[in-house]
Amino acid sequence: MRKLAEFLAQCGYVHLEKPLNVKNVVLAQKELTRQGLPMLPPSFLDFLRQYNGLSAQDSKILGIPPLANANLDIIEFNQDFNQSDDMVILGCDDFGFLVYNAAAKTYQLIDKDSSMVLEEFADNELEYAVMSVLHVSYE
Amino acid sequence: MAAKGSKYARKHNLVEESQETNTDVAEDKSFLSVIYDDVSFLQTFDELPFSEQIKAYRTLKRLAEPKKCNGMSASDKILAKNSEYKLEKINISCGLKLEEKTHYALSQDELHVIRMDCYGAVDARPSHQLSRYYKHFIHNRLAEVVPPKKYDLSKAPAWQIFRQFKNFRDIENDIKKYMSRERFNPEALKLMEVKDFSDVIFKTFQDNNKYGKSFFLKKDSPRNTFVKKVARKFGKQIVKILRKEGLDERYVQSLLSAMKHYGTTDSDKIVITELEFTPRILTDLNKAGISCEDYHLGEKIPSSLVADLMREDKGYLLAARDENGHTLSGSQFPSFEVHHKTAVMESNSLAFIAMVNYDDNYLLVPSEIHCHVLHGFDRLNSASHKQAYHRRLELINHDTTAMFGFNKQTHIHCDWSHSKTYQKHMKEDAEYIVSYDEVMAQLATNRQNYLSRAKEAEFDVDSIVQIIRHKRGVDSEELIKRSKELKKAEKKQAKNWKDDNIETLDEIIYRRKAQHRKGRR
Repeated sequence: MRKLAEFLAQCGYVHLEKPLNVKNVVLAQKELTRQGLPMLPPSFLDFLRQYNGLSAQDSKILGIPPLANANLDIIEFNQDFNQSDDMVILGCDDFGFLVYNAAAKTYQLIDKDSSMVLEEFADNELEYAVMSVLHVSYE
Repeated sequence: MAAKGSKYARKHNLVEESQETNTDVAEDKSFLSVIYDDVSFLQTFDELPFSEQIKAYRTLKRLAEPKKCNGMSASDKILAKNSEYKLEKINISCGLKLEEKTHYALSQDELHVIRMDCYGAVDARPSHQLSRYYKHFIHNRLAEVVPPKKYDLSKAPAWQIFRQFKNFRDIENDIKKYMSRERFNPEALKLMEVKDFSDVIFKTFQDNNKYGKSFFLKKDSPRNTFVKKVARKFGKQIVKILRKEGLDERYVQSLLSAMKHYGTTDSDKIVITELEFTPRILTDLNKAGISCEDYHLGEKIPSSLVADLMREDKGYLLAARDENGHTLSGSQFPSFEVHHKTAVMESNSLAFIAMVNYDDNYLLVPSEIHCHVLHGFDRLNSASHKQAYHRRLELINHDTTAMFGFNKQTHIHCDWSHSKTYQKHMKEDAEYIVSYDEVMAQLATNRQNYLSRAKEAEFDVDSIVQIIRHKRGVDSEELIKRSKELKKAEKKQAKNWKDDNIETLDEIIYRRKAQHRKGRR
């Protein structure tokens, strides 16, 4: 995760929000639960501690409010687009939603139109999932 | 939505749009006039600034949707119907229509390749996603280098999926060179999956870093090429539309320049520069050691200077500032995104799937419209609630190539399909169309053959070894004769292998078994 964070820091094109506030994390988790959605996984929260929401070309990773870019609000976004009860949307691109499937305990890239799983990554492979949705890669 | 009056709602001011009360009207939220006005709502919507139009649209969408948990009261139902009607009218007025579509089956592999082609970037693959066949060949490389021409990609079933796209056909030689350099067994090609090939592409172009990305394209991605073309062809029109929207001229010119040169549409990534020399810019340039003899206060900054400084990552020297001297940030201004008019999942409805990344299937659009309008009806559903159809907003005029707002005057139209390049591209691609099912059937056959050959080879050698073991001590003369025969056969195989310079699967198995036998003796 640190490697990915360093890599993203070097990329001038991603918008970096202010660091995450712990109180806001608790409030956001409560709100997601109230919406009937699973809570955000610890590995994603680790990522948000470094980058609380970021936008790239045609894609974005959502963050916990308050945010400078309101379009990255994870609660608003899930409220608008999420009708599932076992997945929480973490980001998106033109093709699909990046979600955490709490039932399967995996990160998935799901097609926006058909809800078909395009990519699947294990709980400890968030960095691959993030790179996939932001269309960046490093080794 | 947070519960009204909840701690979260109070903190983040989330109680808004759909739960507005009369007090909200008093707060002068102009977009609400669209919600409450049932007669001239369309005209009111047209007259609103873009940011308010988005708010009105999102509010109507929320009101039109059935409540997630609780049932709807009669008044809610009336409100929902009313909002749905207004949304439909607004959509039609800006050239959009809502369509209910059934799903076309498109494989995960095809979707994966379409994504890679669109952005020109390859994802690194976690090891568990790679096939065991590919991993086997990674761990068992050839002893000697095989010339690139021996890697016949036309015989690789999974590569035929990639081959449908020109961008992948163009990198075939690079892949062959990489596989040759890495001493891959050419036999592997017949057994590799789509994700194995994306791993090979990733590793082939690993060093080709630009802004930290691993690109496999020598030129631009289809997405960026499209943005550049639109900016170059319709530059004046774009400036006119954005000026009319009341956007800062410095942002407008910087956006257009970023679009023309880099295909960039993300405002966060754009360095907004001044249009004329200011005292601060002249000072900064001097400090940076750039000669300012030819530049004078108030004069227009030459575009060549802007381009040169941008190339050297020194665009900040020309950064535009507000009245307080703070640098203008791109995040204050709208971003634009590229939308697929025919959804990627619907690629099968086109003549062939490569067309999904053609210029005429792209639409340049503000990110808010992209997310909340064009993709506004996308829903993430649990597997058990997947529907056989989905709703999607389609353009009434398929020639629309850019929409900078809801109003039709902000739309740009172009028929790309008449250009010679387009026709040539299409003709070329048409020759490489394949059926996914057929390709996968071929891959399955290849794997079956591979496994049966491996089994046969193993059986042959094992049976010989068993015979030798059985005869040992019983007939020593026969044993010596048999081992001589085996040695002879080994030498013959080794000679053939050197002649061909390629070790086939059978040869690898034969060599290994022979080594094993030697060790035992």
